[in-house]
Amino acid sequence: MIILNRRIIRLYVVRSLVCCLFFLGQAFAGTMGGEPIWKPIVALDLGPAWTNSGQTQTFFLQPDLQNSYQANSGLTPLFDADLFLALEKKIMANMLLDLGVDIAGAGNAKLTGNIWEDANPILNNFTYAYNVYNVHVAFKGKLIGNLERFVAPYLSGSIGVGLNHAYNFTSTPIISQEVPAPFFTSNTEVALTYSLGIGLQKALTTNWQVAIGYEFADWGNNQLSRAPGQSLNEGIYMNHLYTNQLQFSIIYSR
Amino acid sequence: MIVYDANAALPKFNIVPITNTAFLLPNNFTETVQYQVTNQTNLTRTLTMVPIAGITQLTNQAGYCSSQFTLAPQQSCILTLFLDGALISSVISNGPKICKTYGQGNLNPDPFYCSLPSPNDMLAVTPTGTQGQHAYVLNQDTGELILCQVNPVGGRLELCHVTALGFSFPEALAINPAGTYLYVANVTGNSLSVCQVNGTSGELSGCTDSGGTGFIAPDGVALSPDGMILYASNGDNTAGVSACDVTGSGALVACVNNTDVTFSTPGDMTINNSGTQVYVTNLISNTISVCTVSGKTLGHCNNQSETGFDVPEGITLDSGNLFAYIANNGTNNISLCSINQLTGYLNNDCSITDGSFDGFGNIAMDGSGSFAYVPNAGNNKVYVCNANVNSGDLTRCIDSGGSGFHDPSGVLIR
Repeated sequence: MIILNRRIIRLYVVRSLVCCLFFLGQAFAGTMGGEPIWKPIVALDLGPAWTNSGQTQTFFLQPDLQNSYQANSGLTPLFDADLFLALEKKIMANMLLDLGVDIAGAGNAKLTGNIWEDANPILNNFTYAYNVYNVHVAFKGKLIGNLERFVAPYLSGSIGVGLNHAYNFTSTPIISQEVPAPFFTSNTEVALTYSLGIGLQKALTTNWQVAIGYEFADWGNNQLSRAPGQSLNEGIYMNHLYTNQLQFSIIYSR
Repeated sequence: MIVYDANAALPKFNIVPITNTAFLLPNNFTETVQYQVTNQTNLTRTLTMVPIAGITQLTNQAGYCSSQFTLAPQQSCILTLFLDGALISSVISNGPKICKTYGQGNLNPDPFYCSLPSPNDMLAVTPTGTQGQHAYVLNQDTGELILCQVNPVGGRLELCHVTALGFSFPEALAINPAGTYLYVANVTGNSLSVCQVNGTSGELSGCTDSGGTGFIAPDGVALSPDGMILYASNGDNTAGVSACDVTGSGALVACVNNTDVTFSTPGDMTINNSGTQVYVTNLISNTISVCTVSGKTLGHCNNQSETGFDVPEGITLDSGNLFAYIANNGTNNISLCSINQLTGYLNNDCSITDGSFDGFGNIAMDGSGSFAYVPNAGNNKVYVCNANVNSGDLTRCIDSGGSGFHDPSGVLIR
């Protein structure tokens, strides 16, 4: 299943790049007659992000064994990076439109919580932790306005498909008398992803710009696979992994 | 009613030891370890123990947990584990792990739902890879012979139980060098019994009259180094010291009696390692007869009276024949004398060493010479003392922890 999903993603990326190259070709073709219609840009976005620590859930692992996984309430930091390959066009007197492909990754979110055996709070006997990393390929658009000002505000949005890999699950007894159950195993999920961003952008030179912004992203669902010997359900999951990112960008345009 | 804090960790199954769980295990020893297992969940669960190589769960008594046992919330049972040293070849330092069963007909432990004892209460069993020693203690009052395991650490007596019975006011015992036959002197029966010894477990079987004759109130017994001659001291002066040939089946034949003017109601006796001298206590004269011996014939006896002898009853030599321990019935203490290595006589340096002796028996030394065992008929205990192999002194005598003693008299460590 994972291999199949990866093939789908690979195909998706290839198609996106072909599409991008097509636009680039059109853009360069446009320069032959004067002012380019589309000009290529490349943006690299980096920055810290935060996500919640998981999702509380209760389910049966065996016909007579039900556990509750109580996610911690804090935020978990992670690192987010995007590569945005786009074509830019002036669509109004004071507004630019960037359209292109966004390839992004969010690294190693560590999700933690407690395990209540029998879903019983008096049997709060283990802590758990696991990691998730996400990658996606998305179509991204960006509107940049007020070009004559010292800084230009922008809005961005993307929609795409991502791979969310959950792995490295461990559970640790809170008291020495308790024995951890076999661990859930790693799994990769394919998910619909989207993001929304807002920020400010400033031109440094004719070709180079920098930006600072905030981006909200929904990376979609992730889930661990069942543990060896588990007879019911799969591992713990999140329906959505949301991140809030402080984004620093550097943009090059021809 | 038990009230728990919400969000507090709690073992699903509380596994609390009710016996010792950490020990050395010689390969001829067995041990029984017990835990109380309590279901602390809110659900009735069917549980089982994850098997441990060499350990058998005993389920044959009321209150014992069965192989798969169902416990309602807060219900308990006793998990009883039998450890056979012959079957345990590597260290056990974990468990017992108690798990729910898979259920639906699968009685195997489900690894998703298990508990352990706390770390200090887990099994900690170290096989010694060697033979452990056993203690034999005669109960003069009940005519029983108690068999105990000697704990390799500290020398305490454990798992004591009756291994043979039917003796008549028994007072002394000895085992042949091969460790195959054990002899018991029956004071009121005027006889010696012989029992077969299981070389591994130390258990006795087939106890019967030895067939020897001429015994009158025998209360000391010793065997020649080759095991071919048995000597028995008789409380009657006219019988003196009996000497019998030992047959291949352990029976005593062709007994003769040796008398000597130094004998004065002989009590216990012993023989040196080379088989050339015997030592006989004299209850009335408060002396020790040290006699040469050749075959079944006693030669010259030196009558030794030393300070501190008071109704001397038992006499024991250390393994190197450097020291003699005389158990005094009169003053309920133990005299320690060094032995002249040229003559074999007791040196004139006897002193009272530690150890609370009482009754009509003898002390015993363990094989290493590190521990001495002192019977006390007054409180039905056997004490274990540290023995200094250089000075012979006994110190730090404490209750051995053995049980089942009634007027303990003769003690033997093998």
